[in-house]
Amino acid sequence: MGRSRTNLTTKQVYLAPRAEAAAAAAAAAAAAASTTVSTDSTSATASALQQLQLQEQQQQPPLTSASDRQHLEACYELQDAAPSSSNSQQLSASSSTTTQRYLVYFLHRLLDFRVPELEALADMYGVPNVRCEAPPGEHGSLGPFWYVHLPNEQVAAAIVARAVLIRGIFELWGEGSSFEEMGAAVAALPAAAKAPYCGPDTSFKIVLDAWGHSWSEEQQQQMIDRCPEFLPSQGRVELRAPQQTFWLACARLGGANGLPASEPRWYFGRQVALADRSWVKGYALPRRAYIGPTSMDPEVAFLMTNLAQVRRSSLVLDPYVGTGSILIAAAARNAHTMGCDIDVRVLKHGRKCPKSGRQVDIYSNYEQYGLQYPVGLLRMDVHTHPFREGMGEVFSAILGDPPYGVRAGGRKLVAKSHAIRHRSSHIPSTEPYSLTECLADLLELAAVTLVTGGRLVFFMPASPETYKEDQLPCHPMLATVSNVEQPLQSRYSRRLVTMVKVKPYDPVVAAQFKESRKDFVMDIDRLHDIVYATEQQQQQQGDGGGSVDGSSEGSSVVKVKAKYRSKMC
Amino acid sequence: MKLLTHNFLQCHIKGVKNGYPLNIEAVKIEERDADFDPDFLRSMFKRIDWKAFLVGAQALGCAEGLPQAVSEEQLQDDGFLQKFHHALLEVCLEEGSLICPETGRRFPVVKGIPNMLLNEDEV
Repeated sequence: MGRSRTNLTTKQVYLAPRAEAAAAAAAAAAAAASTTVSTDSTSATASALQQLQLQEQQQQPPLTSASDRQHLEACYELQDAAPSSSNSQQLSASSSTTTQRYLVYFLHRLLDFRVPELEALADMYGVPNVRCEAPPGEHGSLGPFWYVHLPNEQVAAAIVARAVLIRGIFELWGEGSSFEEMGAAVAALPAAAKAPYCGPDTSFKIVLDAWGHSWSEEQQQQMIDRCPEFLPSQGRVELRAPQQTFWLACARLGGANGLPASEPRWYFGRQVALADRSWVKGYALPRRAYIGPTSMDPEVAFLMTNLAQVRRSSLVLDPYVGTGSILIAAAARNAHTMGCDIDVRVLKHGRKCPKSGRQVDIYSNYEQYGLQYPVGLLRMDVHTHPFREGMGEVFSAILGDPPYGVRAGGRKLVAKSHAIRHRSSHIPSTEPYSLTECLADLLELAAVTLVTGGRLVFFMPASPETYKEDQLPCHPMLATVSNVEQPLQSRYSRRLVTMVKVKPYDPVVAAQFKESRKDFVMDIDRLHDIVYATEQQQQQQGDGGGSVDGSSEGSSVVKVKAKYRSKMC
Repeated sequence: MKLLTHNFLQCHIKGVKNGYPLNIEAVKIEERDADFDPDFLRSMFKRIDWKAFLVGAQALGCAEGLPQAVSEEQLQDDGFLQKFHHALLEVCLEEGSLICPETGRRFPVVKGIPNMLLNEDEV
């Protein structure tokens, strides 16, 4: 996706090769300024939050020299404080009265995950059932811009500070299918709405953002020169730390790289909050001490903690902990983490680092990021788990990436009646664990041990041939919140499912349900065959000859053309 | 293994009725500082079995100053919470065993990680 991004002003052309860092640094200051200017529109309940935000920004070290850890801590200070106890309730009370429409600018990756993340965070900050819709224009839901209705700027800032897939949230001043139409809309906006941000004492800058295409330097200069037609800013231009930042953005697919071309959609808005994404680099897997073949991408792991609404003082369980890559994200949210795995190698022994020769394990990762050690690591089998009866509701969230047989297959303990000679050194035998059974056990564990209102977030594989809504795992105590797809290759994808525990565990109902699902097997249990099917086998299937499951239903969909997606997916 | 984990575990061998709490046989005990988080402690207090916790604290030698029963006021008292915090989250069993009170089955704890896997004839 080609995209040119430069910072331009009415007086200067500023073309730094990588202006990202400068823009991000300026954003922090701009956000701080915006909170002071906009106090008129905020309710009294929000002022506590606002103070926190200001406090947070003072703590924030300069971006250029910031160590990732310190910076993250500063970022999370606000997020953790915001939802705790009374604050969120007060916020939700104020949210029911009035909301304002904002423009949210998403990153162009993990497309289906973006709105569920926004919804989960809004819910966490006291805005249940947040309204968000795709704006007009042909990009529809795949486009980078969406409308979202939020009670105030503080909530917007809190969401942006924690979100993985949001670049920023803006107060929309005008939009249109052409530059002129957008300019006219901004000009038509009542002067009173613009005045607080355009006074002679308010320094500003304008960020030009071309999404899906690029602008030449001359084009950018022309646009900047035309901004005074509709923007009444009287303050001086300040590139490094302006009090207000305006965004002039245009979403248009340029038709490069074989992607379709599209009609442009122009937006002009005032920046409310801009994401600081410097943490992504800090948690990158290549720099992590201990990783394995199935370690979770850090961005996805942080996304999972957002979907699960992991917050300070939560107790979080990962039943398939592996190298601890999901728990690291939860620990970075100041949660207390607990992990289990059936494989003792990953848990206990770790591995030798090829470079330093040092032995590394899960604890090394926690040390690397300066995180609080896990409260417990266990070797156990989820299928026959040792959690005590009557333990009740313990975990605030359960996050997991169950083994599904493409890179690592599931195993469970097996009952056999042969004699065991040396009990102390005996290695119990295991047998393959079908995905249906694995997920049923996971959901049952969640139904018992989650607090009511707690969330279960897990990945499961899917393929275009076998995916059907009614094949999703379910449980009478759990309700599905979101279920989104991440395409991996043409033959299979993985889905991230978020569930919430809606009522206390009832053993009778759960037993009845288990009995009713006794013979249920998910089609995806033959995922390994699908992924590793040779061309020839596919051909046979295509001819209707020997389809794997004996039905010819899936055969016609083998060549499913993927929806238009970015390469990053 | 910390006492919080110990509190959640029982012997789950098929047919065992009386597998809780597991007795602790300590070989090596370590103490590691953990962040003091009163909110977490209060929420955990509601979710753990206090009697089993005391049994565990006794075995790990950190039961001093922990009352037999805890009142609402104590949960607001920093002095009590500090002691609770220390026993629950800072004292770790590094090497030793968890022993089923009914069958005497030993679950080894190595490098602080209890092995709760069952053998084929126990599932």
